[in-house]
Amino acid sequence: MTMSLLIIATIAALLGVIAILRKPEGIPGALVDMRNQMLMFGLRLPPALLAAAFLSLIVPAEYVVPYIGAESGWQGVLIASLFGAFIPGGPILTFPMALVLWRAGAGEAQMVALLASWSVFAVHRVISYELPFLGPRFVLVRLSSSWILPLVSGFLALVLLLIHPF
Amino acid sequence: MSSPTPKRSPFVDGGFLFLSAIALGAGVLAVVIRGPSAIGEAVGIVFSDALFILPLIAMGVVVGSLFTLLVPREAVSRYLGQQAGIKGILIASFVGTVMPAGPFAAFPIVLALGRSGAAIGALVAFLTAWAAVGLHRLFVWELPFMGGEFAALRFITSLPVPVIAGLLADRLSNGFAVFRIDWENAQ
Repeated sequence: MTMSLLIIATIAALLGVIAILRKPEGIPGALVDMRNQMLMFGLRLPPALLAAAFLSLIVPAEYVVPYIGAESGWQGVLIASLFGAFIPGGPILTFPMALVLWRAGAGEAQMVALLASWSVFAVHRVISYELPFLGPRFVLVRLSSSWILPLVSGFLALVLLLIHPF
Repeated sequence: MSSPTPKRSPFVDGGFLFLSAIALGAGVLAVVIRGPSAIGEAVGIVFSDALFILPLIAMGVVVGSLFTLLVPREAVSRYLGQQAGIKGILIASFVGTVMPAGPFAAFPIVLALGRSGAAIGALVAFLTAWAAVGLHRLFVWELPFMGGEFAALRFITSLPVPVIAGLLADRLSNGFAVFRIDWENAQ
């Protein structure tokens, strides 16, 4: 974890230097943007994490592992894709919940499929943005051409994990 | 705080209340099933989680904001509108992957591009890349919650996804009238 923090802090520092050199006039606006986002996440994440913590105490591994555990193979990828399509929230809720499944023993390829499915189908985003902005026809075209993608990602992950276990 | 009708904080909104309600519901359920000790255990989990998740998310936010500053929206539109076919789809996939903005920015861009005649394949590839590959999301959410190795696996396996979606969308839209979009009356 500290490694991740180190890497992303380095990226942040590099971008910061570039921003100061190339767009110093935009820095105040970017700072306000950062503060707003951090306040929003800082307020919303604690209840989301708390909900996930409570759930992780009561979701038993025997309900998760047989269906989407590492041993569940391609059937698990199918189940996870199906499940992911119906997650109705944004990332603030979805990732703490994904953490619950992850800790209860969900497999990596199955988690890939679940998160890919959530990001492709994204019920909440379709309802609040895609339909009002782009209309039902666009939603139809997009979903018709992307419903298979979580399976593609999941199966690709299964194959990759066979070749090189992460 | 007893000032008369203070302006409500924009941050304590429906989203926050919704999440709090879920936490409360899950808490009640946990106490019923596991007994009152569940509260202490859950608080312990939250603290150890928050300790490594929050700094990462904060850094992700910094990267996202700086990226938004450095890559102006007009540049995104310019690159997206120009090419059609497989080249357009590849460019759109790349732009969608690196574009850091939230849905309130992404969808108006797609609408504007659609009206000005961009190919449907490129638009679908752009949205899919933004949603499913999105570097921004990878940094702010996947990395903090799931760790670097999982984030890498997720990123690699989602790379081909927007290209496939874009090609299929072009194919569908060219082949069947149901999938053709009338942008003037799209909404």
